[in-house]
Amino acid sequence: MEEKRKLIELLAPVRNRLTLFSISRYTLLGILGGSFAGLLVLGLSRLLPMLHAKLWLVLLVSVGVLAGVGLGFWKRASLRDAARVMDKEHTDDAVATALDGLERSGESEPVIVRLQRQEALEGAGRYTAELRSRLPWPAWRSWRRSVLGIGAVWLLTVILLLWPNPLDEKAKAMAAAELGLEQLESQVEELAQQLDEAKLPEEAKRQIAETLEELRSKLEKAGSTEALKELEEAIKELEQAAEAARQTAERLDAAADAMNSEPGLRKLGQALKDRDAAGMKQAIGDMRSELQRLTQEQKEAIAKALERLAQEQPKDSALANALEQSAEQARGEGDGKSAGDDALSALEEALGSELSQAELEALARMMAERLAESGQAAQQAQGGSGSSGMPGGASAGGGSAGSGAGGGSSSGSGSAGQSGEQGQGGAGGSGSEAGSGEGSGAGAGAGEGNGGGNGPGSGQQGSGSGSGGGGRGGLQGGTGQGGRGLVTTPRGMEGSGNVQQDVGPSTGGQTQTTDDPSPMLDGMTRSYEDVYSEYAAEAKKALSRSQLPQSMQNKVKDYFDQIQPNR
Amino acid sequence: MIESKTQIEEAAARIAALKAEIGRIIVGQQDVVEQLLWCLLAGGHALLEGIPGLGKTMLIRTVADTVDLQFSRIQFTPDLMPSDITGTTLIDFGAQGAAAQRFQPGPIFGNLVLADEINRATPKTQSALLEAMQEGTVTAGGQTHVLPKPFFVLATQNPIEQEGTYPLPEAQLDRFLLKIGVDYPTREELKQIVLRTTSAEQPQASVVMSGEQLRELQLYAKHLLVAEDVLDLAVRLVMMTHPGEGDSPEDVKRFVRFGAGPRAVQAIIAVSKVRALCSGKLHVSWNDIRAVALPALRHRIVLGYEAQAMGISTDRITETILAALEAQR
Repeated sequence: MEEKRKLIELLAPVRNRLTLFSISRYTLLGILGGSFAGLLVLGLSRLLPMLHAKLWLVLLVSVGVLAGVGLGFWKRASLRDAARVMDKEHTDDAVATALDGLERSGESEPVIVRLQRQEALEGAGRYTAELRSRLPWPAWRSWRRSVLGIGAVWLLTVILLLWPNPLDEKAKAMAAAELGLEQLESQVEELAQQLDEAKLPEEAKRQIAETLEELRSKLEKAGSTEALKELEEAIKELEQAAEAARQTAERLDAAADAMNSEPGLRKLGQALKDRDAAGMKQAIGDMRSELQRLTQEQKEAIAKALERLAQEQPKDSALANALEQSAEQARGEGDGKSAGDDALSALEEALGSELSQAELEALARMMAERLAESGQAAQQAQGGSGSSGMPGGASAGGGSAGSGAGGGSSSGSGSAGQSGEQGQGGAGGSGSEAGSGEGSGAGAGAGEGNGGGNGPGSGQQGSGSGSGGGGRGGLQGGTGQGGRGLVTTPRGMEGSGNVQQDVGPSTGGQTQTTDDPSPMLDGMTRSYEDVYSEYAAEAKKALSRSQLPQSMQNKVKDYFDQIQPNR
Repeated sequence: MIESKTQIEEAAARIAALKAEIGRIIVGQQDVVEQLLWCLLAGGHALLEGIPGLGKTMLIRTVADTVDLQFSRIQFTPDLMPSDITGTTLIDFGAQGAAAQRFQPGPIFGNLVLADEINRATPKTQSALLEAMQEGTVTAGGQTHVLPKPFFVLATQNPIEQEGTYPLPEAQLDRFLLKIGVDYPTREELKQIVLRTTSAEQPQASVVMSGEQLRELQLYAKHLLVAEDVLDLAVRLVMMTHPGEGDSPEDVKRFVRFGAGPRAVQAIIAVSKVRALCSGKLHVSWNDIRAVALPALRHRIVLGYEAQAMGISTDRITETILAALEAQR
């Protein structure tokens, strides 16, 4: 038993030394492999923008070292290997034979096996006593290839590290763009949550919610450029939703103003002005009780005011009907108290709905603005990466946050909304419903609207009709950028439309539509935004193709920045 | 049974003494003497090949003189009949004219049989040796007779005289444990030979080992240990003589028609054990395998025509395989 233990003890240092050799050898190979892989990554980063190429280099070398150490340890020497090494040069297969005897021996061990083991122990003892000289480190010849390979790879690596990589900046910009998109995605999430928490009718929220959900799903799937396009679409839809809500709010404001002029309705008007739903309910309740005490003349005055308000609302709308019924009730034409209650209740309900729409407008606009800001941030990041950048439409979208919305962030948009409103009243300059207020608000086609505001109200497509009533189009116009409203095709044709001067009230008025012949043909005019976006994209493409000096490129970029719409 | 290292050392000493006694008569030819003793101690038959006059017959006679064994010699000629070797049945007539059959043993009935110039006999006569060499028996007249033990056939053949000779078939060659090549003596050895054979005093070999002692040494040899690795090397060595084997050297694939069979591994291990015993070791090593590989494989590898045309020998093939194995070790 003692001999068996001793044999293993003598084999152990040889085995450990062999394992050390194995680990060293595989570690060298691992360093070589990892360094080579890192070098490939560095080389690749010269062809493709890679943000973390240097980090990958460190990582691959580390992985190579670890893999080498692991492989070396995995292929570590066994006792049998140690015996073979000893036998090969010095012990003439005595140790391997003894090890065989050790593994096979049972209780009845033949004498010859024991005798042979004793013989092997002597040889093994002599070997391990001079282990370092008998089992030296492998000769330089066997290491040379690996070491020289590592040296060559590292030399190339150092050269690549010291040589500036022009794609590094691009990679950083791309990463920033990705980050921007991620932030945009989280922004969309946040907005969706806000919308969910908003106390608005579900039906009113649904359109915005669907828009946000669609945007979110597309952002997850699409690349940065596609995401910006989707963002533009979403902003447009949000603006449309905001626009619809804003029109409702304006009607509400107009109604509130009208009510303020009538003492019996002043309280209600003030509540509507303040967007105070509770106050509105309270005012209607007060009105209900006061109607009992008013004289017939006072009731008639209230009824007329209500009828006038009803006429100013869209025909057959719930609010118009409720106002008419309320007027009838105020005159006492209804069927008693219950009827009056029904009319005033219907009015309360209709006004409540209008107030919700007004809140929705604010919410949708806020969302559009925030998305636009995020989109512009992403666009700037992406623009830095040298890609095509946000499409022209998106730029318009960014600007359009304030365009025609009458309360947006862009300069002049607030008052412009008002002025546009005037324009739409009777200018008839251009723009029908198609004039969706991109904010350019230039004079249209034949007629130049002369609304009381900054510019003639016309939509960007309003010019097609030549002399359209321009009503709603006017609402969205009027950012005062009239000089860029349209790009017209040079032609000798002049329009013969019915040009009308707008002298209508500041609240707008009825939309007038005429069928006068247009001086222009379809497709002969293009909106400034379209032209700008196309030209800007073409310029960017041209800049990316040619190797112009940076200063010249900046000049081109500055030029397009200066002439961008809604600036 | 081996009980102590001393037994092995004494065995080695006896073998060395035997070798020294043979050396008193035979000048030089140390390898031949050693290989012949390996055969003797492993209990196998040996085929000595060499040109005439190199002392083959004398060597065998000297071995027979040093070991207390019954020696017989058969000079093979083309007209030698099988019964001339195995013996024949005779009819004895008694005093009153009664006849009785009696088997008259041939010269094969000996412990140490010298089959001189074995390739001069016809294949029919050569085949008479097959049963004797493999089974240790002789069948004649419908009766099987057991040969005395130990039984060794030490055959010689001349490689240069092709006319009137009958090459031994592979089956018979395979039954020889070793094929020992007898080469020319060196200059100094030749001088010694001349001095010894032309002087008045002729040295005489004396018996240094009994048949019983020989059998004891054979038993010791069988008990020696062989490590798994060493056995694996021996098997790989034989497998690599096969041209169809994947890791065979290119020379084997090109020049060898048939490789060695299982008897080759048996022969290599048996003779290696004897060699280890001669060295006083208790185990067989790769060095033993390497040393016995040439005589053990020499007559077991069948070369193709290309090898014969190019003068490639089986020894060269074996050395190529040994070098390949050494590199893989």
